Amino acid sequence: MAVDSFAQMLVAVITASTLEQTLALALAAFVQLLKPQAACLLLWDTELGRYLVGDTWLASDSSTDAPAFRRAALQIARQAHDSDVLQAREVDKHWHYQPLNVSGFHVAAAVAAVAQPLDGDQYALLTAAVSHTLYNAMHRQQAEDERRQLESERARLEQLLRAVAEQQRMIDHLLADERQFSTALEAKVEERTVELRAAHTRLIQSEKLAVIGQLAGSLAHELNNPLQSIQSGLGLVLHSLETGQPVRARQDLAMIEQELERMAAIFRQMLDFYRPVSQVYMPLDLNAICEGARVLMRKRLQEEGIALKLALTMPMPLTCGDSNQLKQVLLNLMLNAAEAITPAPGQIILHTAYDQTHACLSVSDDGSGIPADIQGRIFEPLFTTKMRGLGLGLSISREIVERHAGQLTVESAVGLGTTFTIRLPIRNTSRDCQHDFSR
Amino acid sequence: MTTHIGVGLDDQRQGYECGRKAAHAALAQLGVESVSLALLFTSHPEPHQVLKGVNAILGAVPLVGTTTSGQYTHDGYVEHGTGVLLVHSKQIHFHALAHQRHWFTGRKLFDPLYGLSKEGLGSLFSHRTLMLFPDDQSMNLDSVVEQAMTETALLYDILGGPGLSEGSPARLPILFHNDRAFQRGLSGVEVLSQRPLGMALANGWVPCSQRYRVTRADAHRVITIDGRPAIEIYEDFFSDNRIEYNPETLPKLLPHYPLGWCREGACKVNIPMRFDQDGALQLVSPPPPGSLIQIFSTRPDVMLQAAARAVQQALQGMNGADKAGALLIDCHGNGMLLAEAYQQYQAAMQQALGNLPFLGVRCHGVLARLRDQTAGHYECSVAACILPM
Repeated sequence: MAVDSFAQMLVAVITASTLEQTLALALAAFVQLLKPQAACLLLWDTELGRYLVGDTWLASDSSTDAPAFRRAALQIARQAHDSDVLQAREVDKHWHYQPLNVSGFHVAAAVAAVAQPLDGDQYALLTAAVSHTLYNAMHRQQAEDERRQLESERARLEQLLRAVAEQQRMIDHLLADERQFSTALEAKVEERTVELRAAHTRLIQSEKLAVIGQLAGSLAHELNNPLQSIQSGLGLVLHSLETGQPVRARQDLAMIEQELERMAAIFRQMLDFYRPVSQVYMPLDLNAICEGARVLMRKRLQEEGIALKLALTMPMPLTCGDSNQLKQVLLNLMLNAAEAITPAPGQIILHTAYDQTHACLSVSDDGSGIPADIQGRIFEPLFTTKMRGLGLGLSISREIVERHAGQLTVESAVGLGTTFTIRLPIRNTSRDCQHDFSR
Repeated sequence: MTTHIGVGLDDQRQGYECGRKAAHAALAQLGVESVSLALLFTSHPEPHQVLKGVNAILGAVPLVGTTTSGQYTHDGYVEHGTGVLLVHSKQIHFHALAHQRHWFTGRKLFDPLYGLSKEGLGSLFSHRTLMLFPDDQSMNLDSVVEQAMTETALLYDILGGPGLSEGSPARLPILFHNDRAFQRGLSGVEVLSQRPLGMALANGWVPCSQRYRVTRADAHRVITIDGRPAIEIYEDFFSDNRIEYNPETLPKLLPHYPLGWCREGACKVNIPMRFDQDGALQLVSPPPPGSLIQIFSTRPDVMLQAAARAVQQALQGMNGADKAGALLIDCHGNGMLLAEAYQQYQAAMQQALGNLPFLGVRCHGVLARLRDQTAGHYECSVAACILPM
């Protein structure tokens, strides 16, 4: 082939801008040099481990068709590749296989149906040029594909980011709405909490009234006795004065004073008990609570044939709370104990004790006891086994004790009796009490 | 229990009556007057009349759907009829949407989507699904799914069935949106729910060839595979596997050997429709150049098992919640491949659903973006979508 023509052809191959163009020009160059009946360029797919068809050329007078030639060429190339990928060879007298390698890296192959094999400088030059150009074109193509893919990914990512940003704006807007709603809700909750506290206070007060109601009859008797003593004492005083016995009159007046003191104590306990729920917790002595309850309950229990015994540990460490509320709890437990002692006689024991951390007050009776299957429910609101009453007593009692950071527990055996125990943390100073209340 | 589903099926000869009766039957089964969503699928030759008939019964309710090649329920199967699925729900919110063409102008597909509004994102609904019913010609269906995923910031499950073009030259499917019937575009519905919807997709395809490289493709064609016209690859495959074919039998043979790929055990196939003069293969959603593909095949018994598995997996996805009813998005190709066994195929799904009301529709494949699945357009597959009660 003329040197000028060959050089032009070579330059065209080397300067081709795309893989497709490179394939077409390289194949045309091979065809010009080899003058085959048919030829094709095959690209090596490393991932698949086989050839893909790059481009095909058939002479106008070729006896074969393109699909058949491609099939045959692929088969020839496969066989040649498997035997030795680096060597150009005449596969048989009709076929020529030319591997195209760059630095030992197999890039492609040219397969041609030729009458005679070709050799020489021009062919070697073309083979080398096509190998390098294809190698570069394939890498360029690969880089271009990757660039396009990255651009497409970037476009998608940008779109995605826009969607996310839109959604973020929407969520911010919703969060602002929600914050506004939350603020309104908090105010509403606060309002309702205040209402609930007031209702709860009223409930405790009404329970107190119920206790007072239950005690009213016995307290009337309790007050009637000293009144009668006073009345008869006054008659005795008059008589002593009329008969000129001033010493005797002084003795009678002293007895009247004692009875009046006894009545005043009962009134003090009642007024104290009726006092509204305190908002301030103070140090208190459980023994004093027991003494106060005894004053209010003594007559009632006496009338019912129930003995009240106090087994108090002296001295008791202080605990914290509202003495009035704790007295309510104790009275409630004592009234329940009295009701459990049917038929009388029986006894109720108030017992105080303490350990390292807690002061305890227990109310024990030798009454009928609580069946095991309902022991778990007696602290539930509205649960009652009595014919009268709302069933709030024990529920409120437990709540009061728990508000004092304590526990109210029960142990009971049917036929033997029941013990309720109030367990409260030991607190030695008013400061500790304020801390408790603030919780 | 605030979600109810009613389905109706009819095959009256007159389109209007067909729509009316199907809607009436669905309403009767629904048992309540108010309809939250109506899904309409019809294979009737008068789809516009069908829509009018449905509208006459239901009035102004959110309605979406498309023309399909067949519908089935517990009451049977129709190929020139109408299936209507009605939902009443207080828990699940539905927003019907439509988009007519012009998507290639760069406009968003889902501009009017409620998902980008207060009702969707940031709301209390933790399960968001897009059901899409596009036509099968206007754009690459893989791209529809991809665009939907992107525009919704990957926050929605996607399930749908493209309407089916039929005949030669192809008659475009009709899409429905409320009282409107149109061509080219999509109708769909955003589904917002606090409870999960049960959704699953399955098919019975297994690869039966070596791997090939797609070397040239455009929007609806694979032009060359391994650098050769696509037809040569198929010819070699048939020859190697001693499968007899000729130009007359090729159209019937091709759907049995789709192109596809598997990822993480899930296989996605595209059914070849025909070869062009240049040997290129026509497909609805061709794989892009550079992809590695295989030729697939299946057997009727495997397809039946796969159909039942789709329903069972969807039921399992409900986390034990009570079920209201189901929509089965079936591929038209399944019926073609199975021929007489198609009835058994439907029965397999019906059996897996038990007494649950359902509507099965034969679309041009399934659009899906579901957990553990490659997102895109699946042909010869079936998807089950079960709504919680």
